[in-house]
Amino acid sequence: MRRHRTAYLLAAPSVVLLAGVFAGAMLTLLEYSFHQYLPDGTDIAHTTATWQTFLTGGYHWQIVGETVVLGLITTVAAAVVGYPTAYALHRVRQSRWRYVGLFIIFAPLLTSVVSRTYGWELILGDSGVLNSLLEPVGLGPVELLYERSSVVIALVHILLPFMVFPITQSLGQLDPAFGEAAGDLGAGAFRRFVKVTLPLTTPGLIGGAQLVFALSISSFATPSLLGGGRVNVLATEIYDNVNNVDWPLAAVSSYALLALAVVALGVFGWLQRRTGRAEQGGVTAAGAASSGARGWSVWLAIVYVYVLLPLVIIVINSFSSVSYGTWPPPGLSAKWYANLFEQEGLGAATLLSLEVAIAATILAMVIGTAVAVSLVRHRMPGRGPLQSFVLSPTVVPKVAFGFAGFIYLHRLNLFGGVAGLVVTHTVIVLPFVVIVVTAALMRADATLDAAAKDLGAAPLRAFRLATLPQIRPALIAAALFAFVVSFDEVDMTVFLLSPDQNTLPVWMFVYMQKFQDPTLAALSTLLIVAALAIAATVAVLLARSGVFSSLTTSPEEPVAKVKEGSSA
Amino acid sequence: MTGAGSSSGPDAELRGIRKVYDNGARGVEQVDFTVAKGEFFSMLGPSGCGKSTTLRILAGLEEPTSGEVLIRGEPMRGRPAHRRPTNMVFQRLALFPHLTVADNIAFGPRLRRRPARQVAEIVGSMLDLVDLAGYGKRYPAQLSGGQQQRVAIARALANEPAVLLLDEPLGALDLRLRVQMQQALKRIQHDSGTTFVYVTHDQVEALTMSDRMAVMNEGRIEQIGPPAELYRSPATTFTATFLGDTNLFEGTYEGGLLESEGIGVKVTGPGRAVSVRPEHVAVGRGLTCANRYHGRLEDVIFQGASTRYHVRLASGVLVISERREEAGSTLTVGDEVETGWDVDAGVVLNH
Ligand SMILES: Nc1ncnc2c1ncn2[C@@H]1O[C@H](COP(=O)(O)OP(=O)(O)OP(=O)(O)O)[C@@H](O)[C@H]1O
Ligand SMILES: [Mg+2]
Repeated sequence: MRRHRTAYLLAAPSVVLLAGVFAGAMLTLLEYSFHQYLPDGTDIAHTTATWQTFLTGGYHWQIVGETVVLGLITTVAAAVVGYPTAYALHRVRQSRWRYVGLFIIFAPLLTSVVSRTYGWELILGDSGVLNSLLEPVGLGPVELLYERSSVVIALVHILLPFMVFPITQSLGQLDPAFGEAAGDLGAGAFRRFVKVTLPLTTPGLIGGAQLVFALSISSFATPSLLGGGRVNVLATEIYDNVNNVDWPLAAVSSYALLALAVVALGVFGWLQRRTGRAEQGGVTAAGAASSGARGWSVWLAIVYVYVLLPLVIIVINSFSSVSYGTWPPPGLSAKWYANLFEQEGLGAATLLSLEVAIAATILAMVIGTAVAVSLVRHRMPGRGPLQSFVLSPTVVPKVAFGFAGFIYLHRLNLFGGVAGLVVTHTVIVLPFVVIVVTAALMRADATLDAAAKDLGAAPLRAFRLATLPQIRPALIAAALFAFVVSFDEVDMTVFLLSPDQNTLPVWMFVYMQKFQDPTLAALSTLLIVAALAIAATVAVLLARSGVFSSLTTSPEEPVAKVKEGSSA
Repeated sequence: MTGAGSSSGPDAELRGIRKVYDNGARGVEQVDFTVAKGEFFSMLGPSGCGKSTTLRILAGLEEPTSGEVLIRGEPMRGRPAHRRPTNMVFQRLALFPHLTVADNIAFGPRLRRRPARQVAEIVGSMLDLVDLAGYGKRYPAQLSGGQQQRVAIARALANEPAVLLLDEPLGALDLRLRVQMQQALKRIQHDSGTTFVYVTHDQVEALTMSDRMAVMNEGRIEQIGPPAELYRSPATTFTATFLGDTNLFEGTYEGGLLESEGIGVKVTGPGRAVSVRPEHVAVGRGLTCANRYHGRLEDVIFQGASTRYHVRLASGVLVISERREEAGSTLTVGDEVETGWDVDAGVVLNH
């Protein structure tokens, strides 16, 4: 197949990485699930005993149940909060305010899961913000912490962007004929919503629900930290089994969690197809009426507070004068910042996190862009399976892959090094890079690439000169996203560090398990400031580089106002 | 590259080109033609007949499934686009939106590592050639459609290609601009002396601009020749009907007569069909030509320099006549009339 050599060469690095690291680890894990550890420490291979223990033990089914319940409640709550939020954002007329709103909703993604979880601990704790508000009016104190409810509240907060984004996308496809429909008020508006807007946005809603459910059943740090040992889900169970050195049971639990994720994927996919068929009614216009505009603004304000509150509380608490999370802080001091810089191993952890995140980002960008080009610009045999394979890591819960990597890297004698961390992190961020770059490439004009080749550019140079400028904003976004995901990764990384290694989020995770003092608030505040600075820089960069990406060469276009020599 | 092989042989030659795309779609079935040096050669055909495919194969942007491409006598097999002495003006222009007009034009020369001064000279002379001096610093989006078109042509010519390939370059322009650009293109071709292979599905464009043209249909060449020859002596029913209007009578031949849909048409020789151009069809009363039929005048369409008459014969067949003179001006719709033509006005077709 000489003809398709380029296509396969472009795909090869990703395939090698995924086969060598991801598939290798998952197969090792599968093999391990057919082991059994006896109480005296003997290791028996080729047995289904551990599977039998898992499948027949009522305790394990209870955990599976709790995982599903937690996932369902979180998903429903995220939908109840996220749908009206997306709708309200869609109604915001000034695009500037819409972008501000979207930025607020998405801003928490830039901060570590551990930070956000910590923020909720400060709010929901016995003497936290919530109880300090409820008690004076005689409603408290309520005990929310170390219960399922606190885990749900924090998970909804953490996963809200994943619900809002797909719904915003599908709302964006509706005809934004605001003014036109403004005369149609009251019952008419409601009926139109039920008959038109809701059905047309159902795919977005299901897409969001799919993401939130998948991410919540596999979330580890939040239930582990806020559940206080009382919220036992599969993810925490795997971690406990590993700590108790029952690796076969951890392997079985991992596959149970994976099975759950796959079933969920199937169910949501089925739902998506069903509504997709029902939706082909051919309605296009669905303007939002201007009625109740104030109500929507109030709703948005409440959501913004909910989204930003944990971050604000963290910042305030970092200046607290006392070591416990009481509200309001009795006095102000900077001692937690001083304390922070005295922490042992924090510098090394930060350095390792940066090192791994930068290496994984670069690696994933290079091989991910290559495989995206192969998928979009070539029609070689095996394209479909290749795409599924490249995206498959998204289906596997990170805890499961983390534990699999733990065993696998041990076998390869790579455990405890930086290389193992970099390749596993690359596996995790690769699908995101591929998704973002693929979408950008599909929008990019392939004839520009052909034109560059025609004018004498060899394929690689044609890509650099003609295609790259078109997809640059997407590449920046993908790189930023990959960096953030890798830099904040906890669920997988906890399994992959040797005792003398630490990454920043894992350091925070471990610290939060042991201590409650605002040192973590000080660190989180610094991270929030850094994230905001990076986000602002990137936004400015994107605005600068994106200026000409929107200009097309459609010949029908009228002569534009010309500023000679501008931006040359 | 222009200096190489400036012998008297053809600039471009396609031999037995066939292209099946990876998804099984048939791009072209069988294409053969040669283009002489300095010639303006057009490919004309309906949408999807394989014009762009043929051009992309010439450019090296697509590998033919079988067959051979020669440029200036040199086989191009396995030679990718960026190493061929051809350049293309794309159906959708494909100007680089992030580069200025000057940088777009300089794109090719810079890739060929021409020194900066020479690049500036080329850009200057190309802008002059396409009448866009002073527009170098603009971005493509700041130009009108016709201007963008000329930039695309200048960019392709800046590499001094042996053959310039143009894929419906005027397709997106309105009629007035299109006529202007047709003249500009002819002038540019004349001034640069470059061989043009020009794709269009506008027959007027092909007829007026080409030295020679090929009519394509369903991935095959129907006929090649100078425009007048193709118009006057079409070899196939497809060419006859696709180029201009015609009265086509299909039927069976017997003894100098073609029996078609209830009428007999005297023809010059055996064949499957006969094509009679409307301008060779007379209409009126007391005609003397060899083929004469009675019918009813169904429509009279005044077209300025000429007038068209639609005559419905008793058999139901519609005959169209186009006359320059005022002879028929006394006729009105509904009149019983005669219509007819001489035997040698009919072109006998066998395919
Ligand atoms: N990249 C491709 N992959 C698969 N099939 C293709 C591709 N490009 C063209 N085809 C198919 O090949 C046939 C010829 O297409 P081509 O673009 O050469 O037609 P064309 O004569 O240029 O038409 P038009 O006048 O509409 O531009 C069509 O049936 C088309 O669908
Ligand atoms: Mg075409």
